[in-house]
Parts: sequence; structure tokens; C-alpha cells
Amino acid sequence: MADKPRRLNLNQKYQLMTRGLDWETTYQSMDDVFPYDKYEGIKIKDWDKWQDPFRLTMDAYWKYQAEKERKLYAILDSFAQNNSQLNISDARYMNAVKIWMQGVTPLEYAAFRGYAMLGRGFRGAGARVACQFQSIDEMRHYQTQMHAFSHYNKFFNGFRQYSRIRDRAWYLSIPKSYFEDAVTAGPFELITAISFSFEYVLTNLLFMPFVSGAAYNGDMATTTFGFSAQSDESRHMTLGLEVIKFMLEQHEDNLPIVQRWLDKWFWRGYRLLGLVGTMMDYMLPKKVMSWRQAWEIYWEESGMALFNDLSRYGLRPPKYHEVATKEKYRITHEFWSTIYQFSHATALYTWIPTNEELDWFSAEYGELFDTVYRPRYEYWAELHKNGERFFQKRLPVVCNVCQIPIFHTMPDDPLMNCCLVTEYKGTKHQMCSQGCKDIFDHEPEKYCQAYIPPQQIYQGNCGGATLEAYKEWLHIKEEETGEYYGSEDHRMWEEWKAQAAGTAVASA
Amino acid sequence: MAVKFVGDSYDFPCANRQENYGDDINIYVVWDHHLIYCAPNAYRLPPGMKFRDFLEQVFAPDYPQHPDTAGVDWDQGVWQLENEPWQPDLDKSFTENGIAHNSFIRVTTPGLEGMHGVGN
Repeated sequence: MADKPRRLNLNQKYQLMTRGLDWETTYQSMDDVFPYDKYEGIKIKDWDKWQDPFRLTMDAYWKYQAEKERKLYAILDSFAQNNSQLNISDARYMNAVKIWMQGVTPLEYAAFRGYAMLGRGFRGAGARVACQFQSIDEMRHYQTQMHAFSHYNKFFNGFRQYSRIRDRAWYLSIPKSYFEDAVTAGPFELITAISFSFEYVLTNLLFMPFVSGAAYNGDMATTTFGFSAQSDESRHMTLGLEVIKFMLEQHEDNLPIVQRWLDKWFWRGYRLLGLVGTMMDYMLPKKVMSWRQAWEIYWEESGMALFNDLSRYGLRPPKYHEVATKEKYRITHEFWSTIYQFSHATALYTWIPTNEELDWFSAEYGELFDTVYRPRYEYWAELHKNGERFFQKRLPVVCNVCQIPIFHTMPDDPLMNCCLVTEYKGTKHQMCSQGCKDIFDHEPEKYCQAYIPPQQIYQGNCGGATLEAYKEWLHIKEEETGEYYGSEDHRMWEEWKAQAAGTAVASA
Repeated sequence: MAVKFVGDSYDFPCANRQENYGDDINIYVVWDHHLIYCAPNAYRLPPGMKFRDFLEQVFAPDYPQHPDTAGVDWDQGVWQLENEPWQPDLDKSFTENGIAHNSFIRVTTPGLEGMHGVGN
């Protein structure tokens, strides 16, 4: 037999196709070619020490991803052809998917842009290649989510103009500003913010409950997308851990910078996840896990164990994590109370939980729920019964950092709003917490530019200075907003269920 | 503390500076222990407005579905400005009371401390 040409193994191929194609520039200085990877103060002595967390080449990547796409789209097709939107637990569930489409899916696109910048910005070839793959992953997640959700757009309100309201709506400025904060930082802060703080530390709180919640509530479209993204996510998490270790092993001066980024991005991520926790607690008719329980498992146990491991690099757990833990009994109820009273200015519906759901909350959240939030909901339910559905008409004060209306209460007093003030260039700024205030005070030059919806509305930049003018500017229609019971989604859902029951009776 | 940046300078005006509001100011007010209204309210108003007019004609009507609103007497209020104890003169203007652009005001009303014994 003739000798076949020797095939390269994956590792050899990877070395040749990535680092093997890299070179030290001579006509131009490396600092001119890579102008952004030093100004943050991170010192890298030897980029060759970067341990590539996943050794992928382009041909292998295409092969894996194409295989996943084939499966995903086959399932999405059958989902659509079988009218599987009728198999979800209840039309209220759709609001969780709306929040995802309006708030999270655009983050995938923002991440695609961010990682494309990183894929050019680092002078180490290993880090660049890893970021380029992640950039393509993020674009794929953006597309597959949009395709998975587009079927729902034919049957439910709230999906049709996600990109416009993503840019304009007050509640979507929360996720939007989070990513814009990250991509306007330097490359090392961006990768710490997203790859480590978000993907490694906090993503379990996002993906695990959401995807299992989707499955439990009969949403096979979202579940299938979730599984399709999972192997990418684990690659992203590995990159997050690698980048932290790499920075800390390269130079001791990097430690305080990295620690401050972890403090900042833990807190920003935690504030953002309050929205996800609320979706989990309130928008899943069939409950999977409460926010409190998820926090205990994924932060208090796994997160703290991770920081224990990282203590050998000199890192400590992020500042104010104990405040976040104190808030686990209240944050989702405060958030739901807020969305409930402002839902007439969202492309979402809200409602008072059923009695069984209130009992579930009592069991999961105990005394604070029974003394504060349950009587509040019962009061609102009574108002609604009397034809006076509770809505707030006045614009709220919004935190200048996390951009959430300042519904938050004091760390040790859940009955008292917390609103902190700091002054910069003669202008006062309001923050929801010491965590957000520290972030502002460290870089006031950056956060004083923040685009805060109520401020912009009052300045006349959002269609007019009233809520009605603002809603018109958002292009939000009355029928896709406000109270769920009696809404268009609710009426359609009841009709479809009645039809299905009628058909079942007729054919029996 | 300062932001790190590329280039020669990094200097931008505050997005919420007073000059973006013409002759008006923004003020932020919360009636503590009335948490069914979730957050402090934001207002754009003329600085010469009398504080009592604001409270009676603008602020109290923003709590229409709270049973405490009908009986509220702002003269009994206990006040804070920028989270510090403070005694306003209700018959004077915002400016005369030291209320400036983006001031944050808290008020509690002893005896009217919300519902359910928890400040709802």
C-alpha cells in the first residue's frame, strides 16, 4: 500500500493555523498595530504563556456548528408545522420569551460586536483567535434565538419591534447600558466583564433556570435553542476563567485592577439578573426554581467556592456580595411590583399571581413575602376587581449606573427606599446602592454621560414630556401592554384553548 | 479616581445638567412608607414654585390609590434633603428652601405610615 500523506492532529493543525500564522511586526511597532491593549494598565510579560482554552480550527468549528444548526432548524420546523405554540403552559409564559427577545437577544448581537473588537485588539494570537470564535458564536446565538422566537411573533404581541424598543424603552436600557458600559471599556475590562463575570460567574443563573423553565413550560423552540447554545457557552466560560488566571499570573500589578473589575461587574451583573430572576419567579406559570434558591445554589455555593479557589491568586469575593445575598428575599418582588405598575409603558403584560402561586411564593420566601408583598398584591388585586387597575403615572428616579428605577430598599431595611446621591461637575447624580455609587465615583467622567430615560423624556428628547407622548414614540400599542387578564394575548389564548377542547369533544 | 482613556483628553458634559432643562429644574421626591408606589418620583418644575403648591397640587395627586393620601398634612412632615435632616418652609419656593437641580427629598408623615403595618 502506498503511504498516505500524514494527517495533522487537531492540536498540530491548531498551532499551524493560529499562532503559526502570527508574527512580530517590523515595519510598524507592535504598540501601533495593537494600540488598545496597554492603556488600562494590565501588564503582559509573555503572551505565549496564554493557555488556549479550546483548540479549535475553522474547519472543525464549521463542522460542529453546522451539525448543531441542522438539528436545531429541523426541530424549529416541526415546532412551527405542528402549531406547538398551543403546547405552552399558559400565554402568560410568553412574557418571559418577550423579555428575552427584547432584552437578551440584542445582547448577543452586542457581544458579537464586542468580541469582534477583541479578536482584533489583543496582541496575543491565542487570545485573538478565541475571541474571534466567540464573536461568531454570539452572532449565531442572536440569529438562532430570533429564528426560534419568530414563530411566536405570529401569535402573540410584544415581539414585532424588538429592535426599536430595545433602543428606546426604559426597561430595556437596563441590559443595553450593561453591554454598552462593557464595550466602551478597554479590551481587558470587556473580556473580564463578559467572559468572566457574566459567562463564568453569573450565566448559570441565566441559562439554567431559563432553559429548564422553557422546557417545563412546553416551549420546545426555546429549549432547543438553549441546548444548541450550551456547548458554545461552556467554551465561553472556559475562556473567562483562562483570561483571569492569565492576567493574574502575568504581573502582580494586575491584581488590584482585576479585583476592581470583578467588584464592578459582579454588581452590575447582579443588578441585571434581578430582571431575569423576576421573569423566573413571576413569568413561568410552571415554576422550576425560585430566585432565592437559584441564588443559594449558583452564588452562595458555586460562586463562593470559585472565589475560594481563586484566593490563591490574591482575589477576594466581590464587594457587596453579602448585600446581594441579603436581597435574595426581596429583589424579585420589588422588581415585579415595579414592572406591574409601569407595564402600561412596556411591550409586556403583567398580572397578580394566582392564589396557588402566592402560596408557592410564601413557601419559597417566607415571612417577608407574607408580611409585605402578599398583602400588597392582595390590595392591588382588590383594586383591579373594582375596575381600578393600579398603574403609576409619574416617572421614577432611575439609577445613574444600572439604569433601574430606584425601587431598591436599604440593605438592612426592606421597607425603606435606598437612594444615594453623589455630585460631579456641579450636577447631582442618584444611585440605587453603594455598589452602583462606587462604580460611578470611580469613573464619574464616564457615567455622567449616561442616557437615563426619565431624564431624556423630561428634556424633551423622547417624543414629548408626558407618558402618552413617550409611548407613542416607542410605537407601543395599547393592545400589547398593561394588564394581562383581558388583554389580546389572553383573549386569543382562551379562544384557541376553547377551540382545541371543542375539537376534542367533536371527534370523541 | 479617574477613568483611563486613549488620546489627549476625556471630558464630556453631564447628560443631566441643569441647562438641558431651560429655566426648570428636576427634583426627586419620595413619600417614605408608601411602597406600593415603587420608587421616588421625578419632576421637571420651575424653581420658583412654592413648595406647598407642589406638595398639594402635584405630589399628593401622584398617590391617588393610597388610602393615606386623603388625610395627609404636609405641615406634619419629617423631611430630609440629600438624605440629611432638613426643615423646609412650605410657603417658600424651591429655591428659597435650598432645593436645587436634581435634589432628592424624602418625607415621612408620622401617623400615616402606609398599609399592612409595613409601609405598603
